[in-house]
Formats: sequence, structure tokens, C-alpha cells
Amino acid sequence: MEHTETLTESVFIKVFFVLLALTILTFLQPYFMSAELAGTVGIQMFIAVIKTFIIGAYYMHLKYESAVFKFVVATAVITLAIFFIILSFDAIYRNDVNDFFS
Amino acid sequence: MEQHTNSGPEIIYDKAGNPHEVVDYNDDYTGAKLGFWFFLFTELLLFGGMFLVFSFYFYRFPENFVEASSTLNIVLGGTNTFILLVSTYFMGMSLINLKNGEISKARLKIIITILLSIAFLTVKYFEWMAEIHHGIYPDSDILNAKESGIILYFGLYFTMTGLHGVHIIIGIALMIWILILMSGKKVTPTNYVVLENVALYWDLVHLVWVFLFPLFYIIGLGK
Repeated sequence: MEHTETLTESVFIKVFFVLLALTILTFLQPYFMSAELAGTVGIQMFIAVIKTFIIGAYYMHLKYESAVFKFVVATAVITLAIFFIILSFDAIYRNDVNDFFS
Repeated sequence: MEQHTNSGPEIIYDKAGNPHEVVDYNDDYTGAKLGFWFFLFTELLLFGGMFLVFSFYFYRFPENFVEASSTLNIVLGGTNTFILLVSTYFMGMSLINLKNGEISKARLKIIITILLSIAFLTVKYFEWMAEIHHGIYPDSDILNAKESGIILYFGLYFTMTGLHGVHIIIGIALMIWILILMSGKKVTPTNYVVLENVALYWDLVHLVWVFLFPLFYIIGLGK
């Protein structure tokens, strides 16, 4: 159970600048890549997912944790992903949302 | 695994590999962190549920969502994005400082994080006030006269950024609590799991914003 590897200050600072660069990219993307709405959302979510992995691995130390922590997080993410998959079928195949409320 | 026989006491090992008897042992570093990760699990599902609702209605009313998003102040939203990013840096660095025995540096970085959090809330206050001043708030006559998708967008906007703001306020309270614990030598360079867990909480608050910001502010720039 002994920790053999920990997050160092220099790695932490490097990760900060990577996150800063990705945040700036978040701002610039709609101006420099004039994608359609679907493209913008796709690229923005892709950047957000990359940032999530970096924050999870380094800032939340998951890279340095034992398998049990990774298992807990993976379970949470997979559970949420299942909800999104089920909901996407509902969203795509429902005929008219207003029928649902009337 | 000899420790788990009926005759001997149950032994647990701390982060340095030292054995401890389980009875009256109150420094389970891994257990404290694992417990907190389970709490973060519930937080993820709480916000995840809201993102589910957002995704559903965004899919149903894309034009309304883009129109509503384009009325938000992206400069204020962007400022808060950078404030949160920098605040997580200082929060994480405070933990590294504490582990290295640099207590005063750790304390200073927590104070900076608190100040940045207050700055975030101040920006959010002005942003909300501007919208409320324009008659845009849940169940207002002006908002209710708009299209369904716009009503849904602003309902979600106030709910999700509001809940996120509540988490910021809780975070500030936790950081002040940490400073008190540090003054009382309850959080030290060898006993830092409370600060580590609060830093994890702060990272989750940042993570939620990583998705909130593009979904609420950037989509308005999409064509």
C-alpha cells in the first residue's frame, strides 16, 4: 500500500499550463473553426473530456492511486454513460416532446 | 494474510506501511479518501442528472438554446472559467506545500483560493443581476412570454449555475475550516487527508464548470 510515486510541483505546474492552453482553445474554437453547431458542440465536448482526463489523472491524483480508486471512478462514469446512452435513444426517437406535456 | 486469523488482532497498514491494530485506530488514510471518492460519485450523478436534462432539451430545441446562449455575457463567464482554473492550481499547490512541510505557504495558497472563490461569486452575482434586471429569471413574465426552449434554457441555467454556486460557497466554508484545523495542528504535513479531500472536492467543482461553460456560453457562438 506504500505510495511509490507522487505528484511533484514541476509536473503540477506543467499540467496547469496544459489546462490553460486547452481553456484558451475553448474560447478560440468558435472563432477560428467556424463549425456548424453540432461541430462546435462536438469539439467543445472533446476538449472538455480531455480536460477531465487530465484533471482526474493529475489534479485528482488518480494516476498515482491504487486500482480500487480507479474502479470507483470508472463505475461512476460508466453508470452515467449508460444513462446518457438510454436517454439519447429517447431524445432521438421521441416524436414530439410537446405531446408529452399536453 | 496471517493477521486475519482468529487468534491475533486485525492489522491495517497506513500510507507509510506501518502496521496498526484496527481497534481504536483512527488514521485510515486510504479509507478516508475512498469514502470521499464515494461522496464524489454521488456528486457526479447529481450534476450528471442535470446534464442529462440539458442534453435532452438541447437536442429538442437547438435553435432556442443557441439564441438564449448568445444573450449571455461570455466575458463574465470566461473570466470565471479562468478564476476557477487558477483557484484549483492554488488549492492543489497548497496540498503539495503542506506535504513538503511548508505550512505557511500552504496556508497562503488556501487563502488565495478563498479570495478567488469570492471573486468567482462576485462575477456570478453581477451576471445574474444583469439577467434579472432584464427580466430574465425563472417564472418571470418576460421569460414566460418566450419560446419553450428559451424558458427551459434559462431554467437550467439558473438551476445548474446556482447549484454550482452553492458548491462554491460550501467550498469556501470547507477551506476556512481547513485553516482552523491547520491552526489547531489537526491538519499537518503528516496528517493531510482532510486537505486532500477538500482539494478533490474543489477539483470536482472545477470539473463541473469545465462542462457548464461551453454548454451554456460557447454554444451561442455556434452557427
